[in-house]
Amino acid sequence: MSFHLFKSSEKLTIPSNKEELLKKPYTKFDPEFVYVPLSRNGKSLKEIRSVGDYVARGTLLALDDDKFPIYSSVSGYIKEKKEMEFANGHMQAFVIQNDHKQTFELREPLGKVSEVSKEEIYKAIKYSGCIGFGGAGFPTYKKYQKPAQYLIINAVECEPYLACDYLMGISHISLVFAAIPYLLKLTGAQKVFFVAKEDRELLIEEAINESKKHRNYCVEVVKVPDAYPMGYERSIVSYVLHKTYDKFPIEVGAIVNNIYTYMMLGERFLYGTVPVTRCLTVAGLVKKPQSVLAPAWTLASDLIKFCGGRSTKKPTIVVDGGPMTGHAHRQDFVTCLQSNGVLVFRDVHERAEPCWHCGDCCSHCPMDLQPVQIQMALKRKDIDRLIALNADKCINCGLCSYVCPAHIDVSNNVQIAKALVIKAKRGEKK
Amino acid sequence: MMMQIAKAPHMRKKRTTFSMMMELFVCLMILYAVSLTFYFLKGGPRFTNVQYGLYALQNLGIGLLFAVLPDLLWYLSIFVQMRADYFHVKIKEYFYKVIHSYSYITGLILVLLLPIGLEWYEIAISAFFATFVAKLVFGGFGSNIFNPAIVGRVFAQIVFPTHMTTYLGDIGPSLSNDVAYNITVGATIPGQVASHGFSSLFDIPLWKMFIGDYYGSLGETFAYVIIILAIYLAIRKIIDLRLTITYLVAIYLSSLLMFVGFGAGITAFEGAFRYVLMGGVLFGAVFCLTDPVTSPTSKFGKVIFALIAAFFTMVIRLYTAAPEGVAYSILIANIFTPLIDKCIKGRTDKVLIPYTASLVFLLAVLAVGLAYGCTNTGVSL
Ligand code: SF4
Ligand code: SF4
Repeated sequence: MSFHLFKSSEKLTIPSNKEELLKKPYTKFDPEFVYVPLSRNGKSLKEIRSVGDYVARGTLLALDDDKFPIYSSVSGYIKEKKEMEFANGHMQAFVIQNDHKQTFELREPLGKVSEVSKEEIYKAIKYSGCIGFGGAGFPTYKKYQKPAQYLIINAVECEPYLACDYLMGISHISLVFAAIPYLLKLTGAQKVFFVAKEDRELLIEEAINESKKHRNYCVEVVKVPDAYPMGYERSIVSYVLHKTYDKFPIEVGAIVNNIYTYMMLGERFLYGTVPVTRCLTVAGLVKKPQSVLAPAWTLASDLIKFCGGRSTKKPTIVVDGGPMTGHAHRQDFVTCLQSNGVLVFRDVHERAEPCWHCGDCCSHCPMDLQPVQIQMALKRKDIDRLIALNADKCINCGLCSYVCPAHIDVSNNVQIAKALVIKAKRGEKK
Repeated sequence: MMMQIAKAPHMRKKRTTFSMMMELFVCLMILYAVSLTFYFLKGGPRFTNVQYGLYALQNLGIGLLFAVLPDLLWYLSIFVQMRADYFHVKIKEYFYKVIHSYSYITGLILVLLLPIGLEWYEIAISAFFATFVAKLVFGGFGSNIFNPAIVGRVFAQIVFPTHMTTYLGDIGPSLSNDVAYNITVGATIPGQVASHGFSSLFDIPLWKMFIGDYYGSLGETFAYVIIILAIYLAIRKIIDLRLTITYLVAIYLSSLLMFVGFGAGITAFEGAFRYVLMGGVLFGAVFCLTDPVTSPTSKFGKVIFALIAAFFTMVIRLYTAAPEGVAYSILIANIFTPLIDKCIKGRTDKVLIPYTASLVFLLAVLAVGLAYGCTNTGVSL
């Protein structure tokens, strides 16, 4: 426990609830239907295929304005087009009936590292449709538009319950390392960091062994302490490089990607597949909690059924993602490509007490914000004060709500404030 | 009505405001129990031992009852306001509100801040005033600006000044024969220092001061118990020692300079130590200053807040007629809380301004002690 007279340096270890989950190897699941979304960030995509077509895994279904693609995650016929509830909102979707044949439409694998051009690597990343699997779903190619000095592989997985990245990591570490030389060539980076939590010994061991096999580039394995939110880009960059940045890590010459993203890129470079599967941890109030490797855009209820169904008769909510940041749903929904967990919890809402200004939220905020002050300013609708408090710097880690003894939804209030500030700032610019 | 769906995060720390308050309540009760034992065993000059003990019990009962009474009355409004609901829902809501207003803690702190010798109605009025005016009128728990218990204590001091001081009798062996003194003048150490000069601070052995074997307000004198409780509460993260320690250190250093100014030589260290143990400084620093509701939220703000309180404690103790400055100074510092909060903007990861500002404030506190010491060099010790 660190102590600082003025800074909010109190790192917090939160119960991870995943000892069991880390021991169970992941299982594969092939659902009957998948639902491929036909819009991204509120904009509809240009459809390449239509209802009735036969598609294979990796067949191009739609493109956005930037030519960023979306691929089918199973093989079978497109049955219909209908409105579906996704983890991130209502969208039109292709319903594809799985024929369980697993036929794969492959792209051209990249050749030897010395023979491919930077251009080819960049295109391969972009047209693989790869997104950040850490949960944000930021298109990966956008990170690789500028040269960088450091590549950081994020295998921290600091959210409680989630174990899927660890399980995939220990069984497919060679794929991760296969991607590195291409990315080094593309960015011109010199140094690679593999960042994992100190108690994930097996993963660290695998990474060290694997890095010894590759003599032509250097991978440093960094162990980070078991604290939340250690897996956030900012925390990692400041822990590994001792640097802070304003918006994106590229400002300090670093590119941070999730370990699963590396795995998917490695697979693309070596075998020409595109990332259309995702390993998710299904846990909470289910009978057989485990990590499941499933095609992307599977229904949450299918996953829960696969894991033995709910273990309680009381009303439940289903959370997409980790418990600290994930959105809760009462209705069934389709998981996203970047979803990393489906968690079932009791549907309760604890009664919040009045805020007693204890300042716990201030002393734990990883961004050194003052959530309680932001909340008070929000109540008064005092935009100037919100801007002065830098409400837009919040990284939405949820820690302020976690520590709040009054059980107020502090981080949710900060989100609202953040949106207001961003809107106000945009208005100013115009 | 559809219940709102829970927002992320879907895990919460086990610790709640309620559990923290209960722990605090237990700690205060321990302090009270020590005090009660003391009065039962030692008694005082005016009545028998048992009578003193009963007085202490009466203080507690009256204090708690009349601190909670305003809540009981105030929240009756629930029965008028909530329309289409079953009666048992209303009853539940009513008791929830009363219990989660934490006025019994206000009452308990107030009882510990007051001495034996007040009439029961005086305690009752102070306790009622504390909860009603300082808490409920401001909008209930969490919205109050002033620490309610301190408000109650200051109220008692202003409205019933005679009974605050003339009850217990002697404090040290050298004065115990002075009967006239016992009855008319303040017998708490601060009162005595105010009337008899600083030399009376040394009338009682230091160890007695430390274990609390002298008279004062019910809970203020037992320094060792307060220190143990403070350490426990700090480890459990219920109070922030940042405040307590800043306050104590500032007062210690300031009074050290004052004694040096008197020309006390090496006894200055002991004198300053006694000055910190004297009166309600320790109790105030641990249980009143750290009240989250009325102290700033950021760490930097807390440090500044404690320094402001220390500044006014010294000023009031040295330059005014009031015998004891802790209660007033905490109230004054409470006024500054919103201002301090307002001044701290942006991200709090820079430390240059906090260090400079705290240093400036600390120097201000030291200056008070030094100035008094240097201008009153004739004080005999
Ligand atoms: S959610 Fe935002 S305000 Fe709350 S602790 Fe995280 S970064 Fe700070
Ligand atoms: S942690 Fe909760 S109760 Fe404490 S200051 Fe923050 S919002 Fe208020």
